[in-house]
Amino acid sequence: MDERKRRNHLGIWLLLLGLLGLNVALSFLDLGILNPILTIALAALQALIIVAFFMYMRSAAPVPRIAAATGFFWLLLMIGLTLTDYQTRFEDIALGRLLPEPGWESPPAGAVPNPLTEPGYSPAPQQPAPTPGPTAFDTASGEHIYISVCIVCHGEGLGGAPRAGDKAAWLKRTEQGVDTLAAHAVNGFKGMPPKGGHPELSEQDIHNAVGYMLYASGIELPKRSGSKLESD
Amino acid sequence: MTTVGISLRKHYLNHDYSLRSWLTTIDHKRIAWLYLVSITAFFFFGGAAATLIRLELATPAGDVVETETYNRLFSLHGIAMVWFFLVPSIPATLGNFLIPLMIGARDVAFPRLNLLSWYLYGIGGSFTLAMAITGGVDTGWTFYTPFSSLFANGQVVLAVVGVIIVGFSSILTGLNFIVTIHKMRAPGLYWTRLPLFVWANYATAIIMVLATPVLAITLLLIALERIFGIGIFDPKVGGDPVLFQHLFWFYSHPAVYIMILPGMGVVSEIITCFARKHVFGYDGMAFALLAIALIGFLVWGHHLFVAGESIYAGVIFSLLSFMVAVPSGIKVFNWAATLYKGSVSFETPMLYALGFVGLFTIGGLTGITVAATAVDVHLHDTYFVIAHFHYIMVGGMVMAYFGGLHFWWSKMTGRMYPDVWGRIAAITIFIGFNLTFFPQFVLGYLGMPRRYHTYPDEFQLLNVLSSAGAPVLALGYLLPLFYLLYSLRWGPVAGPNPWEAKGLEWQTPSPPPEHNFDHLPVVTEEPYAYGLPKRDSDAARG
Amino acid sequence: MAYRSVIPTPPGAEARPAPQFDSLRQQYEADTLGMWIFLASEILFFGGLFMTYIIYRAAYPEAFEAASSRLDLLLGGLNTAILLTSSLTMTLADDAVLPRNRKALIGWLAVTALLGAVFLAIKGIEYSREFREHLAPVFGRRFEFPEPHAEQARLFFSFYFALTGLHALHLLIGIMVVLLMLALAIRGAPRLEAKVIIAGLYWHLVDLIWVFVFPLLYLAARHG
Repeated sequence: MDERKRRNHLGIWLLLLGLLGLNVALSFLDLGILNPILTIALAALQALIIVAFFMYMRSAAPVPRIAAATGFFWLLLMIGLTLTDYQTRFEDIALGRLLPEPGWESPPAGAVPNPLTEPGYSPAPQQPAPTPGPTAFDTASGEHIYISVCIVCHGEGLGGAPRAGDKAAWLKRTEQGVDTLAAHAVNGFKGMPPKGGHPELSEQDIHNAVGYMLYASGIELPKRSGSKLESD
Repeated sequence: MTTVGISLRKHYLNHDYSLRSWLTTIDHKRIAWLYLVSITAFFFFGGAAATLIRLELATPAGDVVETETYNRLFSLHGIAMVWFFLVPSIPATLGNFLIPLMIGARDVAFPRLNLLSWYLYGIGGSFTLAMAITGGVDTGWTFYTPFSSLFANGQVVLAVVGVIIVGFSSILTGLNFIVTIHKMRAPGLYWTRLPLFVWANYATAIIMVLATPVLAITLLLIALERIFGIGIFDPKVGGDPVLFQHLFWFYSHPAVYIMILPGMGVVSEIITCFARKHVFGYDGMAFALLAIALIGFLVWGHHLFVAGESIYAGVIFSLLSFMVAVPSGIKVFNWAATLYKGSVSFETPMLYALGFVGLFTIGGLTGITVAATAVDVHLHDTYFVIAHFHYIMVGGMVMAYFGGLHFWWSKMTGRMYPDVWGRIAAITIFIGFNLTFFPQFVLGYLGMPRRYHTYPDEFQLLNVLSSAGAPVLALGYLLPLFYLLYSLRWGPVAGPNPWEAKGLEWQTPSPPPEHNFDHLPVVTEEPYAYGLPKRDSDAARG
Repeated sequence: MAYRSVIPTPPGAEARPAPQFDSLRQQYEADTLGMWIFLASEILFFGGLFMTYIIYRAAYPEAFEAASSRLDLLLGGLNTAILLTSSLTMTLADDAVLPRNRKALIGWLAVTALLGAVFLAIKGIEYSREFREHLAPVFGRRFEFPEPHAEQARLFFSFYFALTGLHALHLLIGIMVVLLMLALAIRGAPRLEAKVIIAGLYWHLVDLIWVFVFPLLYLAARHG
């Protein structure tokens, strides 16, 4: 009995070493997607053999078996559900592109201040500070609108919205003309509801918010075209 | 049982009064007391932080503490309350004390491991105290990267090391409970005859064992990053901060079920006793506990809806989050059905249990509200979420804890507390709690963000209401401290079963002898075999 | 062919169950279940790290392959063989427990601990080479890697040191446990059989973890 047991153990050991050698050998071949799959599969097989024979799982009582199986299964659950996130990030934060896209520039310093950290902040509109140079938009008021309404999507880039500060994305969109851009915001466009879902805002408010986002992305704002969009 | 009798009889408390006997005890009942004292200390520690928070928030301007200090206060409040009070509260105190008694065992499976758990708690607690004394952390109890790993300048390493150590305490306790319940039940105590309190702690223990290790590795990675510069969540090298959130919440969501399931077990014990009725749907109740534990592991992504998680994953997690409410709903309905046509009386433990059912329901329903992805976009990181989880943690769990303490106080100490004061405290807590936290639902809906110590003027009224409730709540919590301590010396001596409750723990004297039972019990009847006739279907099953 | 039941029946009554248990058998079953639950928790502990690694490996395949090729495959493979052999010797020690073959038990336990120590020594050799070649982004040391994969290679080596470091820590604990068993075997102790077998379970877990660490880290590269 002893001799047979020892021979069995030696056999298992040789099998494990063989699997190790196979694993290393296979890594020298280029099998495409099969490479990582096979290495893990062979490792899992080795693990199963160790658990079954060296850790006596084959003759264990049911509850320890369940405990061991649960450990592995829970790990698979964790990995699987997390991958539902990573495998479905189809937009600019997709797997493989966790780094910022080339051409993305940070907003100019001071362009996106955070008034919420100032004491006594009140959402009532403040006196617009004089904006430098001739601009067509009231960016101070637009900033307030942006923080209250637009930041929900344009802050993180939800649903494909161009992020405030993403100069490349906004430059692309200004090619159609800033007025068209603002009209899209007023009337709704793709995933964006009309006026960002806030019908109580005036068209001038929306106009200012768009202007603010352009300004925060480091884009020079054009003069007002002269034609009013709506009588205020 | 006369006063003379109790002073002559040796039991687990009076057989040795030395400090050394307490610090080297392997008696599960004494270890429960060690935990009780420790977690009470941390409860008041975290409560002190909360007091300062509510004091600051009574006015819109940041005039009581500075921003930095405020950030450190709410971080300390979260860390102390979650890991050093709520997670161990019922399992380590009532669970440790009662589980061997309820299953007819002499102790837990690994008594020395049990003591080690308490020492690990103490060591972890020391690290946390050290962190607090040397300035604290301003990362919030959630330690989000890359702020916590790269930019925060507080005592992050001390904090995470303290939490990792207390996490091991948790794992060992869970391990102990699982083995104890599997292996040491008295003859005749089949799984289908277990009290729901035991089932609840069993489900809790499974979560502790499976979830806490992931917290340990996650926080360890932060510690490694800060000490050794290993940059796993550093965006500059391609790391993903959202991955930290996945790992963190994989533990922290099941952790909230660690915190609530034992409370549900306590409530089942109390309601059956004070309605004098068998619990409605025992099988469903036990199944619901396990279902909550299982599904609770699958919902963590709902904390990441607006963090940058893919929308498709958000849909999946939202659906699963709706599903986890179903077993909780089963339990609430079954408690209500247990009360129906019961012979209900309103002693102190029952007041707490009924409070739990109502407040937990509100908390649970508001959880479903934020589980809807679209709604969460508006409500995330507002006071709505804070109100939601305080309704469950405080309105639910802390009330269950107090209810359990009062229910089993006579068993643990051999004394009764004055029930009038008990009821006054329970009602005070209920009123103070609602006054403190209900306005926060409205505040959150109106858009007040959490973790801000200044706010726009129009939020002040609701904040003042909330801060006015806080001292009422605090008074409610202080009262038991006094009358429970008073009862230890001057309370009337209690017999083995003053509530005439069912359960093996009531078959032994109050306080129990060191070895729990003079004669090892054999179980022959169903649990909760209170007098009222069961329905035909139950009677047919016998 | 049946692998026998591992429930030891102690000859005589020199071993008594601990006071909370009713029988030695109950105690042994409780100890075994306790150890398996602990091992399950260890699987999840390392599993979190595995998951993080897998996600980054899928995100940056070329960088991770380039970095992996800088590891010493020969030493890594040798170490894996050493640990697998140590699992064998631990099992052989288990075999010596029931027939109470004390000399064999002591011998195999010693060999197991020795193999573990050899593993750590080889790991140390690997670490020192990696430090010398500036592949260790720890303690603020300079990290050098040819572009364009420098940043992600740094990430790879962070995982390398985290995974192998934590594993080495567990291995060290395992060696100490085996040495403790050795001391108990020399001195003679009650319930030695149960203790050795259950301690062996922990040793096998340390091997098990490395069985996954090795292919994940060392076999990521397409050699040749």
